[in-house]
Amino acid sequence: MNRIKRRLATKEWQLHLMIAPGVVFLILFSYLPLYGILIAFKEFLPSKGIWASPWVGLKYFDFMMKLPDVWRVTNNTIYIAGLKILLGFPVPIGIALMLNEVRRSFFKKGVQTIIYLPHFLSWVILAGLILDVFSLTGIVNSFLGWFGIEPFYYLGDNRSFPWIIIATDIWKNFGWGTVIYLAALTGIDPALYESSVIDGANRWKQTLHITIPGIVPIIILTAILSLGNVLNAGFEQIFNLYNPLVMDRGDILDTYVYRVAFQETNWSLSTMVGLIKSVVNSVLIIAGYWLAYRITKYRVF
Amino acid sequence: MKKKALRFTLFGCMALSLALTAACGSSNGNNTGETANKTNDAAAGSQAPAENATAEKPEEKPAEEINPYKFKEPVDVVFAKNVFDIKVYPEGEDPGNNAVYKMIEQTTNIRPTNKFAVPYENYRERIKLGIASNDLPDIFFAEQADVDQLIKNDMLEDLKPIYDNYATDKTKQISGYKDGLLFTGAQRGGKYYGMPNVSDALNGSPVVYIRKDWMDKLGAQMPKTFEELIALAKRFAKEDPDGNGKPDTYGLSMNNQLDLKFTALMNAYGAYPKVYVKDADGKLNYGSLNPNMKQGLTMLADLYKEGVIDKEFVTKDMPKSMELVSQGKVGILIGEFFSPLWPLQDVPKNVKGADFVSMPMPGLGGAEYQPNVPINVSGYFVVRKGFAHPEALMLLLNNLAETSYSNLDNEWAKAWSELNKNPKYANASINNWLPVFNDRPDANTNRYNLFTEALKSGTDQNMPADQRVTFQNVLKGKEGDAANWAWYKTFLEGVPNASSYKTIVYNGWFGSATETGKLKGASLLDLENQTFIKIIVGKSPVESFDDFAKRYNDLGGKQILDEMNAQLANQK
Repeated sequence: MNRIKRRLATKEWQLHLMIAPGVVFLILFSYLPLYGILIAFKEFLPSKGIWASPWVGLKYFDFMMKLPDVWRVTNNTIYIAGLKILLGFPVPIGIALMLNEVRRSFFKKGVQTIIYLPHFLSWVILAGLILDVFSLTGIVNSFLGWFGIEPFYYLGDNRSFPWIIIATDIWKNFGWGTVIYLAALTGIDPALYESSVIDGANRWKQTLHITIPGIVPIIILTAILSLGNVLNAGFEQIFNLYNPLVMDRGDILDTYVYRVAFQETNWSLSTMVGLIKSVVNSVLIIAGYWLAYRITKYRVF
Repeated sequence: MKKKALRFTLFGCMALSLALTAACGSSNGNNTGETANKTNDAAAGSQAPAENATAEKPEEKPAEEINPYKFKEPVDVVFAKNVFDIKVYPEGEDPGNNAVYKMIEQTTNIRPTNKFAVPYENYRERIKLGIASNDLPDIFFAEQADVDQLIKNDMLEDLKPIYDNYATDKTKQISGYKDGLLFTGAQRGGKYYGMPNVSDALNGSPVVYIRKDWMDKLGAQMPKTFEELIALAKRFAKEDPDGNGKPDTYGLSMNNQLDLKFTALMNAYGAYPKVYVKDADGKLNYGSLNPNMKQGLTMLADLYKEGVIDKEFVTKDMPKSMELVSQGKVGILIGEFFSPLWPLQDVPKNVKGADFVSMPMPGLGGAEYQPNVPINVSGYFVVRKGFAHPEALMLLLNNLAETSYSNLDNEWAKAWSELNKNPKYANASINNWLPVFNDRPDANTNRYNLFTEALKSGTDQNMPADQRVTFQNVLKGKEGDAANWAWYKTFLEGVPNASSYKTIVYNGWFGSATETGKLKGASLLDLENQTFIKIIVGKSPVESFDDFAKRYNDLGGKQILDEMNAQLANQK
């Protein structure tokens, strides 16, 4: 007690004050709502509130496992989300490295702005655009038509649909990732480049030995965090683009649960699915963190 | 504390007139504390000064006459407003503050406010959120699934006693249509947890609209049989009826929701997809599994292959698919009696010389066509449990019924008709501004009869004044006024065609999903829609239907049916 008093009395209290709003925010919006997890184990009746609703144990876990299509959609989810992570991961790094070499700041800023614009558009708008671009009379089919290729209905086919989802997702988000890496690149000490030039390193060697090692911590951090998205294949995107013809490969956990749970206002089921997703995601993040430490001896926290 | 609350309840019950006794009595069972406070608040708010005096000598109070149209004292009621079109509100008025709400206050002493006013896409979400957070409006509209949820959560007032005490004969004619059948979805035992939102019985009855100018151009005759209709659709797609030299016309409109435009076609083959049909023993059967579906699907697959329906209908929902119709690219629309008002109204605007003729759906080989028409309840008006004045809902319905039956002695109906005459509101569809709306189940058939009579006699003086505005529109449309074309088509062609069917097949199931339905309904619906669409676009052969029917039953369809039949047997 005394020690806390003394600490607060000294210069540290300003720092604690500065962190306080963040802590309050976290407690209010991240920790208190954890109480709502109880809904997953109860027959939730809103008029009675969360606490007074009767317990049903693992009924909704059982319910979820018995849903006829749950494994098919889990497969699709991991497939789409996994490829999104795997293919989408190197793109912003490459672009950031290339932009870093551009010396004209006008061009660099211009490209940067243009590529991260789609990040701010909602999927509802982009879906309208994508439906148009890939329609039978859209740009893609018209263009391929010049080479004598028959129009193909890309959004109505089980093979092409997941790839359109993956590609458009990468297109939407790589600009954002690029900005993060560019910020990390500015943190590298210019003295390192200067001394390497004296040692006779060319551009390629500089990239290899200074730039990339300089952003490795950020790369690892984003890689670990992205592991947490293995069960998030993008509800908004798929919900706005899918149709009955591509359900076999395009239907994901979130869209499926949406149809099952929300059409019948089944809160307990959706909470249960959300809880399980969170558990799997945090296990993956923790495993990733541990692996990163074992392999690179690098700690984020 | 609790004792005190209880005593206040007693005071409240005694102080408030007969109107409230029902409410207090019915809600005493549980949630006593909460209800007590609310009742007390209401009492304190509306008639605070008189409360103590009357409460002490209740026996001296004379029995009050029930006025089924108006409260004695102003009563605040919170509604949820579904906003159809925000643009029709004139300057200075909005969904929560407008001439209609003022009229309600003047004629009924109900002071309406909105908890929220949003378009219907968001309305249902807001209601669901309200259910989840136990924060509901006093009186609101709820769909069947939400009604079931609300009843399960014990969040609704039983309206039966209020219905018995307050409903006028006219209201009983509307809500009690078909011997109380319309209540079924909100009825549990003898209790009515909602008042049906009654719509016209013709809603959902199929009417075929055909491009007249295209038919003339191709020298085609009005089809007499279903086969001729399909043949005409093919000609529209192939013989370039718009004469622009491009193969950009379609015969039929179709969308991925497989709604009326799909089911009406299947009905011709004696298959009733998406509904449960009673067989000779009174047992339910699921219409989508009827083997006759195969003929219908074969026909549609053929139309798809030949380009008679849009190749991309799979990615288009109903409103989106109407874009092609509005652009005048589609020759035949299977719609409803009001389709001329939307979307067909746009066609003559976009394409010069476009015109439509309409007819009832023709039967296969000229046989009688028996459509499936949904029962005319779109949902229920419900009252939040604990609301002190549930009879407010009945007051509104009673007044609406007076308007529906054109009784202009009624204060509300008079004010309503005045409002309709005001040029500021005449074309603003003020029906849609009301927080609660009901109409006669035969409203449009009645209009048709009035209008044809007036046309015959040459005068509109015999019809109730409030119908004359519509009649004038119809008359102008008949005389060739382009702006009123759709009114004429709707009331003089759409309505008689929609009401021309002698036999109608109704869905035999009212409630929402059964236990297995909740678990498997969504997957089964997926399976069904996927199978039908795959067959139509040619990704699966039509033989896959048999496999589908078997899988559907194995995956739980059979069990759902058994549960439904058991439940029906129990209700008897």
